[in-house]
Amino acid sequence: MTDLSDKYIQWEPSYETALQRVRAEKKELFVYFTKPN
Amino acid sequence: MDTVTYSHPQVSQYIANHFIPYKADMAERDAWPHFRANHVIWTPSVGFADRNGSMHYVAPGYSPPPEFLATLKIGRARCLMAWTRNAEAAKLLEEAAPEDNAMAAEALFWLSTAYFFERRDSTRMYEVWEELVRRYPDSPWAKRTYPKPG
Repeated sequence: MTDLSDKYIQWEPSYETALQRVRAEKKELFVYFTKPN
Repeated sequence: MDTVTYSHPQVSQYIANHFIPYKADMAERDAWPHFRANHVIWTPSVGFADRNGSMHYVAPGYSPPPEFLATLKIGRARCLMAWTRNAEAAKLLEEAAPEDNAMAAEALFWLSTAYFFERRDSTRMYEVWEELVRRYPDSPWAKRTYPKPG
């Protein structure tokens, strides 16, 4: 679901790819827990 | 969060520079296990996890940009501390602690723990606790400290 945050943050499309990138790029995972308005 | 906090240039830049961001949307069934596994019952919330997906810090509710920037630093620091990267964590918390906002007391508390874990030396921990109690005597974080013995 698209929301306004998509304009400002490049969310990773899936949790699995996010975690892969965390490992590859030596960063931390940031998770935004949200629900549609 | 979307209109005020994520749109703030410092916030979006900090996230881009230091995190891989993932949105767990309650509307998407795939996201539900992440709510359950991390005991997240309120939206919006933000969570910070390490390379194994272990979540070390969750912040529930809305935050304005200054407090959210501090939250990002505390969350990152907590992940680093879980991997004994205490000196790096301390640097982040040293950035967050001087800001006089609603997260400063918590930043000071975690800074004291990072100092302690870094060298297993309580000297600097007590110094930070003294600062915490002086600056924010009524905060719940100050109540979690105790005076230096003797």
